[in-house]
Amino acid sequence: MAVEISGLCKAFNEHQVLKSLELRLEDDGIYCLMAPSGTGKTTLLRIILGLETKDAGTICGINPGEVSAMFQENRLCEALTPVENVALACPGKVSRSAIRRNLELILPTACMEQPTSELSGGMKRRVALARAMNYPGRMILLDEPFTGLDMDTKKRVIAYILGMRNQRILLVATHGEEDAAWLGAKKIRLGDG
Amino acid sequence: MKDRKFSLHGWGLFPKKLGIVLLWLTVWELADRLVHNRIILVGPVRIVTALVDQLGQADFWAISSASFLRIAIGFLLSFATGFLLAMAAYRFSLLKDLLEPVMVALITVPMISFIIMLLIWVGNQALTVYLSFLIVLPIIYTNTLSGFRNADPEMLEMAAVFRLSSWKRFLYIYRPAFMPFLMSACRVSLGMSWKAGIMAEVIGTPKPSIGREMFAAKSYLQTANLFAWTVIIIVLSVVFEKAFMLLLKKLNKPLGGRIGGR
Repeated sequence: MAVEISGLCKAFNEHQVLKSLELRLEDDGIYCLMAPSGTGKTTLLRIILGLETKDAGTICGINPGEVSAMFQENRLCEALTPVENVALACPGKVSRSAIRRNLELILPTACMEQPTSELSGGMKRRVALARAMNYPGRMILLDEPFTGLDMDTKKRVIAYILGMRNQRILLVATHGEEDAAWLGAKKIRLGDG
Repeated sequence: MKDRKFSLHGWGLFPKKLGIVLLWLTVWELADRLVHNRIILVGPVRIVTALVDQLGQADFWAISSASFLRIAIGFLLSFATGFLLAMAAYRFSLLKDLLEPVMVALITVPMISFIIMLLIWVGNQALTVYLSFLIVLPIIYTNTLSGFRNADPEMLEMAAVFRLSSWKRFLYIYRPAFMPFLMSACRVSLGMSWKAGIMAEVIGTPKPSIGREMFAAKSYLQTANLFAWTVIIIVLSVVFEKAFMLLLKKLNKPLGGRIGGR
């Protein structure tokens, strides 16, 4: 079932961030949300996640709880290891060894038992990404997932995202024009109508 | 290398600290011998002698255990109540508003007023438990509530998005937020519960109790006994504080091993 966003409006005081936004996200679709900073990318993601109220409009075809997210900030439990951070967000009793094998696709083996507070910024980013990808939702939202990653790691991360997507709707907020090409994504430009 | 440096620094400090303590003990002992009046001043040697005498008394352990239990029960009841009330007040703001004047009153009312009121209401045997409870309650409550309110709103959003259970939120988001506040509150209130508890015993003289023995020592001008019981109180309070803080430190561990299965 596709996700339909219709007539979505959001303003912060006098500043209109989203104005009558119309968007249809097809099942199995990959989308890159392209727009300059401060033009409502994160606000749109937060409204889809149910973290922000909308002033007007409707979102049909998805409920909060069916959407996983990688936030602009890492939002990790710093005292827990990467495996524990990912397992924490997964419902039920998940296998730690399965998560460990999954994380090894994008993280060095040596850092698996370290507290997240001891990891580099780029590593933390990948843990946050793995948490979003491993959550069994119908839709994945990634807010600037490639920040702080070098080119080789970025390619590995993109392969990981595509491998883990599993026909779920993927919506990525990014500034990089080339990211859309690498992800094979359809570009959505906020304000294009 | 860093550890070695730290260790050498630590060992370097030890003789210096020991020297300072020995110097003051010597000054104290010399002062005792100069004054030579066992009512006004008793030195460390006479205190140790009195302490050994007390340890040899048949009812020493009964007296010490009774005071220890009264104060420990008062503290533990207050800890549990303060924590649960703070958790409920964080969840229900009406409860927080209702409790606010009560906590302000508990903080501002002089301790002696509590002692007199409690002597009338609960009698001298239960006075220590109630006083420890009332003195510690506002400290635990206000600090724990501040800890809960200190929880990172971004982490709470993350928990909402991933539909974390209440138990997971408590263990991995709220617990790291409130534990530093709770530990600092306990460090302060453990000492206060002993000071208040012994004061209550001296005034209420429940039987058996350290406070009653101190009151007797004061009445019969047995200054050495008074100091000996003071040493015993210090030892008991330090043992209780260390044991309780050790328990809290264990509760402050990340507990990541509980997440997921093999």
